[in-house]
Amino acid sequence: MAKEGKKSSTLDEVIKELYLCNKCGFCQTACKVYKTDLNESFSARGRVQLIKGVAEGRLPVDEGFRDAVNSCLLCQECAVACPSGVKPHELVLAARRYMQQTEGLPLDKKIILGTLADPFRRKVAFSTARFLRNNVSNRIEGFNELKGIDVRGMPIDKVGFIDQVPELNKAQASKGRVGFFVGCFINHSLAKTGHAIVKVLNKNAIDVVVPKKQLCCGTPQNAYGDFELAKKNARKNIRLFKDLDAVVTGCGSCGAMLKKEYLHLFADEPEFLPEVEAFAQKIFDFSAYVMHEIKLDPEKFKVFNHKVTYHDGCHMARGLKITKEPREILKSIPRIEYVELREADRCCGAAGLFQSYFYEIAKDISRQKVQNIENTGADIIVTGCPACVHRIQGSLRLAGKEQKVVHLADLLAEAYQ
Amino acid sequence: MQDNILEKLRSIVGAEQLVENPAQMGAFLLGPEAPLAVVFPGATGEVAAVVALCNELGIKLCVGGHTVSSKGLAGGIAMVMSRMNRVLEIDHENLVAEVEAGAQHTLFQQQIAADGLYFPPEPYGGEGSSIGACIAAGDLDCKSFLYGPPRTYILGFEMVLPTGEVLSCGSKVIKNVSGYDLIHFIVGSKGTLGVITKVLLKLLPLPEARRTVIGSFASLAKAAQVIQILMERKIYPARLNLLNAPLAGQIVPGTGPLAPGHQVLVDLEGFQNSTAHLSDEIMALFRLEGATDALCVEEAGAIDDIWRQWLQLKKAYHDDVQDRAIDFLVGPAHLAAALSGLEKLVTDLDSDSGLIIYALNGNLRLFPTPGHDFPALLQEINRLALKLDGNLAGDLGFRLKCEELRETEMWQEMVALTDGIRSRFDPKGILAPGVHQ
Amino acid sequence: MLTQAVIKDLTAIVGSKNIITNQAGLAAYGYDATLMSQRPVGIVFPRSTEDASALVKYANRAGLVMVPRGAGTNLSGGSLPVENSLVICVSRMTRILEIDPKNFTATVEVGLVNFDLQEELEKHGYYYPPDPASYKASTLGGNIAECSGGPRCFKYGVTRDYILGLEVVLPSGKVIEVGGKNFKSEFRYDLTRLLVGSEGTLGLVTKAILRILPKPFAKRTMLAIYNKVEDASLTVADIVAAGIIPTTLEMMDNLLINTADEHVKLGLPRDAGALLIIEVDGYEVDLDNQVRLIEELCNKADVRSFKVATSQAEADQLWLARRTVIGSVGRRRPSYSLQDVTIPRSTFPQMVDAILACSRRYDLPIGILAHAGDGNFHPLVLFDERDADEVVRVHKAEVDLIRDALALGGTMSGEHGIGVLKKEYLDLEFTDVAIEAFRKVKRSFDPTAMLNRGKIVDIAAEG
Repeated sequence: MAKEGKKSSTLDEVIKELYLCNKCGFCQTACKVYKTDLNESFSARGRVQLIKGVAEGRLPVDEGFRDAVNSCLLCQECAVACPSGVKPHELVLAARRYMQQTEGLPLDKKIILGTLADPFRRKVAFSTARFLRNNVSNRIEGFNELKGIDVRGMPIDKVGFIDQVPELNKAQASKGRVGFFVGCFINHSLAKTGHAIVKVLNKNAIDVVVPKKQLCCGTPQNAYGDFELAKKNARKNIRLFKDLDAVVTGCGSCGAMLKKEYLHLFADEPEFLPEVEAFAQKIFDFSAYVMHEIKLDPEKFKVFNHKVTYHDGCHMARGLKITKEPREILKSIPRIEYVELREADRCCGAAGLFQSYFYEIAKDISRQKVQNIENTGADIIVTGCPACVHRIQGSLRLAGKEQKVVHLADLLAEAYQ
Repeated sequence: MQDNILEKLRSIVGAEQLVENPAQMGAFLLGPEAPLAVVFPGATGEVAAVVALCNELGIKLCVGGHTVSSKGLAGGIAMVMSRMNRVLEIDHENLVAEVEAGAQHTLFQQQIAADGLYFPPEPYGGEGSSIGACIAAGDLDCKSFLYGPPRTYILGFEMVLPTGEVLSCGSKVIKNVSGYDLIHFIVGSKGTLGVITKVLLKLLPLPEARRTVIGSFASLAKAAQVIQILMERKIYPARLNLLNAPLAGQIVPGTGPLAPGHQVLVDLEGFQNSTAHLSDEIMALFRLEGATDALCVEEAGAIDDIWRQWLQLKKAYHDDVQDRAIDFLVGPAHLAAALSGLEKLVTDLDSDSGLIIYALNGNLRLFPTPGHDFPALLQEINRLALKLDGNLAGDLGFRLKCEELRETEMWQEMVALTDGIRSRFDPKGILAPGVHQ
Repeated sequence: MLTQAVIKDLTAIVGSKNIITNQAGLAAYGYDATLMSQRPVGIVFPRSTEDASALVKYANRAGLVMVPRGAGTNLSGGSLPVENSLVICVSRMTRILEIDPKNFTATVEVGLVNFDLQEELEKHGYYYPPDPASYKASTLGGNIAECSGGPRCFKYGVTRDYILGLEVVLPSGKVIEVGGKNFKSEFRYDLTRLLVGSEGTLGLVTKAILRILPKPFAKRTMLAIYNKVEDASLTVADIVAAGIIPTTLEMMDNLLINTADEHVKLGLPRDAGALLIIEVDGYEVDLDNQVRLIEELCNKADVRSFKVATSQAEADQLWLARRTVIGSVGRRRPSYSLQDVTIPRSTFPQMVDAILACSRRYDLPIGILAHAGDGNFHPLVLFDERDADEVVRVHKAEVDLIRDALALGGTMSGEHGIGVLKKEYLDLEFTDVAIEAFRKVKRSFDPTAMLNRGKIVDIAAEG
């Protein structure tokens, strides 16, 4: 039921920023959801204005408002485009937080977020999904996709990556040691990427520590306003990696959460904040680590005769601000033909739960990505985010395309063979 | 009654500024119908008083710069603006001039050229015609591709409305979106919405360099091909015209006539370096493509001379053969196709029927010899133009297009809409009775 | 509120995905880029001319006032809903129907965003010259309605100069086509020119035939930085007097240099009084001479630094700063009032003085942005909309600036239109005769003011 928007502390905190928006509309072009649906409520400006309406008590929190706020990809493009320096994605987070506080999360979201946050439930969920996929949906003729998600093609590993490897993965003649924050996607559905990361690091004389008790980074819970749950896991993760000087992630979203969002999350705990800061300092995306800390030697790569393009995940490009490293690494591989992808850093349509709640828009967004990929003529698409790997690979497959989508680490692991 | 009207008119413009003697009036009239009198107002106030009088008494009124169309003007008044011919201001800093509507177009251009300024549109009806005529006709000319059509150069005006009030719009600014855009709307309104008394014109700096290149070609197809090549090379001169052989002989450069053939006339205006390069390139192309003759004119006087002849030619056809001229447009890229289609319909294009082409605009003006079945030819050319992304020009073109495409509702709607605008401005229907009939 | 019956009828025309009647949706379509707001009773998205015509006919029958809208980046309130109105939003009519570079035309549906067209044209080596600062967001329909300008007008003109033909749904719902693919396609009157800049009050434009041009062979982008605004305006006058028509002569004052640099981080000197972005284009062989001459003229005007962009990327950065500068003032104060007064170029220094005086008079910061070649000023009056007293002063400042521009022989609107924001000042610029002429035009198209009622002029029932 609609509730009259009462002024709340969460929205009060951002009221100043809400007034910064002077409605010039320049963010419209940056908002992939708007560009696809062409409805103002589903644009960055629209969301900001609606949130302002609720903050001022002029608008109720109703279905229309919830849709507007939940339709945000959190891709952060709008913040880059905004001349006034408004960060609409942060305002959306505040609004989602406000909704979570005032009316609680809807049951479906609550279950999903809770499941991802709990390692046991998460394991059960992925196994169940795998079982259903193998034994039910795959046996139904023509059942290829569920709301634009490539169900048949989606890999789900039988045993999670973390359970496949020892805690310590030693390199020959080791020169250093890093922790590996695996993340849900690599753990359950891209174990091969997990192995690739370990392999590339080991090849470069780095020992890799995979703490067995690591938890979900908290991105899903944070995105929908359940800060308490996100914090609970965050605290454990921070402590778990305490003894390591460097922690590598293989996922832009996990990376941005650990390196940037944890600081926001704990902004209200000044006594704990130094520990969070220290933790954030030592988080490296895989590409940044291999490029800056290891300094890869291209001499060691085998010749790689492929036309390759790169897709920037949203949180990689605008959360971690990593765009140069993956490209330079790719270009350094002998004989590789690198082509730039049009709108490379625009969302692929995944955006966490967005793809299932707004699947029609998500499908359209993915279609655009597939078209842009087609136009490059590349046969391999590299990215740094497991969610993007799945979304793009699935969309390509559903469109009957042959191109392969791989994680940067997968490609490097192959180049070392 | 009639004497009474003439008396009132005399009291407005002065006795010596009214002509009622039919023999004397003839010099100022186009067409056989005879008005009561021709008046020569000297100021906006006089124009307004004459218009108000006509409106009050329901007398038809038609206006011209030097001559007035008398169509539908029997018993009405013809107004000649030739006395209101002053250039009121030339404003260098703002690149603007204010002139009275009767100012002579060519004289005005010469006057500002001496000051290093430029007003690109060609005169509407030859050298003697007025600025007011250029604006009222609003006709495309062969410089419109590069410089924009005449409306591009109007920033404001003063106009006496058919009801006698004076309407002023615009100012010395090149960007103005205040209110409805009457400033540009009146361009091409052919004297139906009011009597233009003053205009504020946008000027440009005079181009640094000019050259004219002329080539003669044995066939229209060859000439069209050369034009095509120029456009593909993205060469867009101030003018890129084609005259067919029957007309080409009328352009005679100071150095003597070119070898007979269809003539491509190129007028280059711009900066020194590029103009020199382009004229060389065009000359080389003309020779390469087998021009029977080619000439590059560099001296300013000689260039002016050629284009003066061009204007005379244009005016001669404008005045003499207007009733049997067919003015149509096609996409400029379809020029060759249009010509080959036209050659099938008009077989004497090499010898008798005249053809003037503004190539950059894809505008063709055909002057068929009297032997042709004119109405049938119109229909055929209309179909030809429609096939080539074009149409016959103006009102006729729109009507034929609607007929061809069976757009009856749109036709009715457009007539109602334009009639509605006109009657709201001119409730008694006194102005320009011969227009839109 | 629309009744369920009306919603059902509208849905039958456009389909359930193309109608919005929920509260959030109404609120999201209740504003444009001005401070004003007014919620409509519904929003419908035609997907075709047939939809649009059916909607207009239906709205007439149902007695609903219609407000055409594109992206809603309007700066005069022209696309703002009025009371009890139905917004007809063309944002989903985005098809490019034809790009015909050889004949210099592009035919588009008007919901297409200007920038999206430019991207397609780029592939052919062509462009569409009018590119208002909002071109990444604003639709061509909006550009046509407002006769948008942009930074290239000095050489290339405004939207009006690039519209060859339009398909229009009249306020009655009947569809007409005006103009065509060529100049000289007009029937009787140049209705195309009347419709361009008519702010959606005369007809709902659904398609447009645009004139496109090949991209210039070469261009040079220059940045001149001055200690004083006066020096910059001297340069502007000198360049024009020297016979050069740059595509662009954009000026920013100290305040805007600071906010733009905070956004784009160009490393501009924060103490500079003004800067000019100057761009010339044409044949490669002509440009060095022009740049040399411009540099001389800048030096003559005591330029502090003069620089020619050495790469496209460098030029693009300058343009990014220019295009986003208006929004960037949000970094100073949350709200701004943006004028578009335009004055004869020769009175540029007087207008600058007038703006500075206005700033002092009302104790409000005013940033000065100008398309200097056009004499088109964008004084940005900065304030906070929550401060009632400031709002009153801003309002007074707006009128003063309009009066100042008119006193200098200018116009109150160079490119944003009258809308509702400047409607009340119309009689400062126009005589009663002119305003009555506007009414005649409006009545000829829309005698009962069903389309965008209350914009530009009000009309009483005819009779």
